Amino acid sequence: MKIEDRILFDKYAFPCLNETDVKRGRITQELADELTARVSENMEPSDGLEERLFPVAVSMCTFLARKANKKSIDADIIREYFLLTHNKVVDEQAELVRDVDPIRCKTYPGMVVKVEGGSAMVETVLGSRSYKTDFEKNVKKGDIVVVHFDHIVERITERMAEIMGRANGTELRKRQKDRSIS
Amino acid sequence: MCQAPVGRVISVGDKKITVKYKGKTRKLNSRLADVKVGDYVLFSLDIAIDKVDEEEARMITSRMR
Repeated sequence: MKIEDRILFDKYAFPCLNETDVKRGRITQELADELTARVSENMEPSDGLEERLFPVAVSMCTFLARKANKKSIDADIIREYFLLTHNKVVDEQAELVRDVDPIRCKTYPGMVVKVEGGSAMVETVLGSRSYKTDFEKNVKKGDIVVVHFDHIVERITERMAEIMGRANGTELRKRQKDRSIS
Repeated sequence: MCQAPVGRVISVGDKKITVKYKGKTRKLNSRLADVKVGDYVLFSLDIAIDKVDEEEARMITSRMR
């Protein structure tokens, strides 16, 4: 099934390239870096790359799209998968396959607490950590974002963060919310 | 990418199949994969996602041990 918004899909999927495909010897570190740099500039990779590198994510998106009577994988389906379904896949794989780090593999909602150069400190249920901003360059303090491995993937609404938190048990901390109000 | 586990199909029903994985059986939704008894299939969250040949199934299974 065709992926309509390949750049969005890649921004969600590419952060795990280093931990999985490079580590398993499927692709080189240089290629992972090149693909990541290209998607940072909103440049699509060669056709079919997502199907080759991310068959599980593409298949799950296909399943969700068919369930929604859609003929292609659009941005809503990509977000439905990576924000609401992906963490369950990670949990299953951690249990059955055991070659993934379930904590780092998951996506989390968080709040930007500080921006510094090409990175930003984001507070999530994991605590306050530094994430690269090359996929979402104009983040500012107080933004609600989704993070995956070392990257901020994109800004999301607080409502989406709440839905995501309820689905995955990764709620924004109360003090994060208080900070955004004050 | 995520690496899906692979099971062997032991029965095929209407939109559902049963696979054997590590000695246990699992019922899967077969909407995405057209399979028959004896085939190997990747699965995720109780959804059969793709058929693989025996060699690939063996490779995946050995990587997961």
